[in-house]
Amino acid sequence: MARIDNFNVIGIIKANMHHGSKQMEVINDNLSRAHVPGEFSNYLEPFDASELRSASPTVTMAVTDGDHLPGEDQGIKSYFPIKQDRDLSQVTPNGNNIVITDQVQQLGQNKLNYTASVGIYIKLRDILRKAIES
Amino acid sequence: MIIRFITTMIIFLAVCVGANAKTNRIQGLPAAREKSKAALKANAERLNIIAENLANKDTTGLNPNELPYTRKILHFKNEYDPNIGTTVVKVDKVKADTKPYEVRYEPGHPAASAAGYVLYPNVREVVEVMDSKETKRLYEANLEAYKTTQNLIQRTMDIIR
Repeated sequence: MARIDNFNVIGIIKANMHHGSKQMEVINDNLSRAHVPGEFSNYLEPFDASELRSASPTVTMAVTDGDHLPGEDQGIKSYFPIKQDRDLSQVTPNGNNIVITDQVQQLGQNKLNYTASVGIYIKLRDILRKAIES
Repeated sequence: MIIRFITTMIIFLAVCVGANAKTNRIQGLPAAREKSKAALKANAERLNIIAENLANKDTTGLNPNELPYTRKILHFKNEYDPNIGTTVVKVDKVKADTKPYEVRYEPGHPAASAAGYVLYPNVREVVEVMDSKETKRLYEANLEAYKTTQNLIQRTMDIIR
């Protein structure tokens, strides 16, 4: 049973939003390459909060560049690797397997998930504000 | 002392600029928006070429030595653009279709050969119409993706209100 004091809600919402924005990037990239010959669609694994549910906020070790000037959050980015879909069941004659219908469907679903995450985050922020004010 | 300080500052600024140039990549929603924008431009260019092909489907030469209009095909490439900061689809090149021209027997035509045959463009209206329908569908899908991404960015901005 998950303990309430280990429930990293903000971390989960943040990770979900990162996943959503990364998913949007992948979907838009697929749609832009939908007619380019020889291109395959990319995808992300569905977001799984089970690993984050019991994690407490820690400092993430980031992999930096050779000149050791960190410029971006490598921790969140590396958690959602982009994979290539090599399914050949729906391939056009020019060797492209990106299906527009599937991508648009994922677009709608991702929008719902992201909007829900933002809504929950705003509600949580308002609760914290009320708690601090009182 | 002052010269040493100035030299140190110049080296520091050079490293910062170099680091910024190297880490100019964008990710997430801004990258998604740029990809959709580039795809819209590429599809618009493709529609432009299709319209040109259709408009010139009956454009012959003015004399027997002149070739008629040759159908154009647009090629795309997916590469990293350092100005934008992510990989985007771009127009690679415009190539001529190598399919043979259509031949019609019109002895009175100014471009007719000695045998009375005229070369017409290798443009097939059915193919161009199907290409335009496909491009329209792609354009609409990318437009929807762009609008959704914009909407999500605005929704994210609501957090800081």
